[in-house]
Amino acid sequence: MSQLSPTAWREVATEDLIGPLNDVEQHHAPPTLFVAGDLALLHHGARVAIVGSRTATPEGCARARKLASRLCDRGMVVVSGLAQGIDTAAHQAALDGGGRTLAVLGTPIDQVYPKANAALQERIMREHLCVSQFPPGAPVQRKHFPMRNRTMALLSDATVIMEATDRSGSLTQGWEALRLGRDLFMAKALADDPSLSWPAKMVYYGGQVLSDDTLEGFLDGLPQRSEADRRGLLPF
Amino acid sequence: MVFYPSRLRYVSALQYAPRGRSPTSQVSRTVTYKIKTDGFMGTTRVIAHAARRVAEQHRQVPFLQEALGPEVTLVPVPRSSPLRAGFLWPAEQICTCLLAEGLGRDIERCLVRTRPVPRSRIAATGQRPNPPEHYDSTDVRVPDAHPPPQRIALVDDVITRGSTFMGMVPRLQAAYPEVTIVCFALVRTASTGEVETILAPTDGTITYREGQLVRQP
Repeated sequence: MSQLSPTAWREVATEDLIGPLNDVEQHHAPPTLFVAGDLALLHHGARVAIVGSRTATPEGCARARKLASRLCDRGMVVVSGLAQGIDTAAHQAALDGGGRTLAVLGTPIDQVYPKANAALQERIMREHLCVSQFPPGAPVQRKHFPMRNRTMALLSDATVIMEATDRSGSLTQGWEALRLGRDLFMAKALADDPSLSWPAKMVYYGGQVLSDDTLEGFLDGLPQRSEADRRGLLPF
Repeated sequence: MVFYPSRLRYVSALQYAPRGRSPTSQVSRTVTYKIKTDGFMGTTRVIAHAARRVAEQHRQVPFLQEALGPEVTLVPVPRSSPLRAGFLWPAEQICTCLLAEGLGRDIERCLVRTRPVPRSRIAATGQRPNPPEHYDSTDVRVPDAHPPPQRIALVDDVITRGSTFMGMVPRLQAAYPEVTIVCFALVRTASTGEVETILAPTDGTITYREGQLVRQP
């Protein structure tokens, strides 16, 4: 864990940031979030989390980059957790493609993990948006990372798991997305991998396999999100 | 042997255009997304707002009165996959809001999905579940304690082709053979073109002949 240079951050009530929460959402939602960056990023476009293993394969990272680019082309926000591997590939592809990205941290906002992502985190805090539910200066604990994963599911309209073993922290996020009634997708390579047991369990409870057949229906169904939505101009 | 009705009546309140490009069509998709995720627009819970609008329309629209009312038992359609404790169940939330508006007598959570089926929105056209798949993936568990229903509204969030209703009505009718069942969807999918309004109460039919489903309108 290492410290970042001092950065402007502020504490915001979760419901002030993303709007009122229903009873199911409130169950695991943190009351407040610490934020650094451009809050307007939350006002336009669907938010899709791309998550997966820190020790990702080159193929998994390539799939994450490809999907992130596709989301950026549609004006969507790429959400991830700033970890090594899949997360880094997704954030970096969003930046490279001129898109927008949201990092949801498992550390307080004034710390960085892994150290190798310090420059990436600082750029996202400066030009995009970083969010953490843990107060600056608080010690980092192992249990914070699954908590972060549930928060990332809450902040995202959909979650896509690109690579994950049966013990991966990304599974916490997948289950939370399903609990919230959000779309949960997994890369086809995971569903086809006989060594993994979690894909079949998640498909049983509503997880979907991302493929050429399902991608367009998935993206078409995500919310547009506009200023009118935020101001609550109900159209009927 | 399961006998599916050749013709089924449905009633809906709102409509949305899955691919329309007009401003109203685009916002209709946001409304539908908010209903499916029990979300808010501004500070207003969309399902609760929709139920209020249904209640307002109910006073003027005879076919809504035939589907919903203070003597009607509301039965939520299960999600497309089995439900774990604590999971969001949009159809149940719709029933709760309809009940709060005086549009139901009680809620009977008697239909249970026992295995997943592909979701219509995401599945490719040829892979959308047909009525027998809905029937076979659903069980009905009738509680002993409740007073038996006088009339039933089978309640879903969105009607696309009507396959879910067509598959579940025989399951429900077998449990309640003497009871009239009407299908109610909060949102109707306008499959082609644009929508000009989102609130559009509709009295329609689903026909099922030789394996083909046709929804009108």
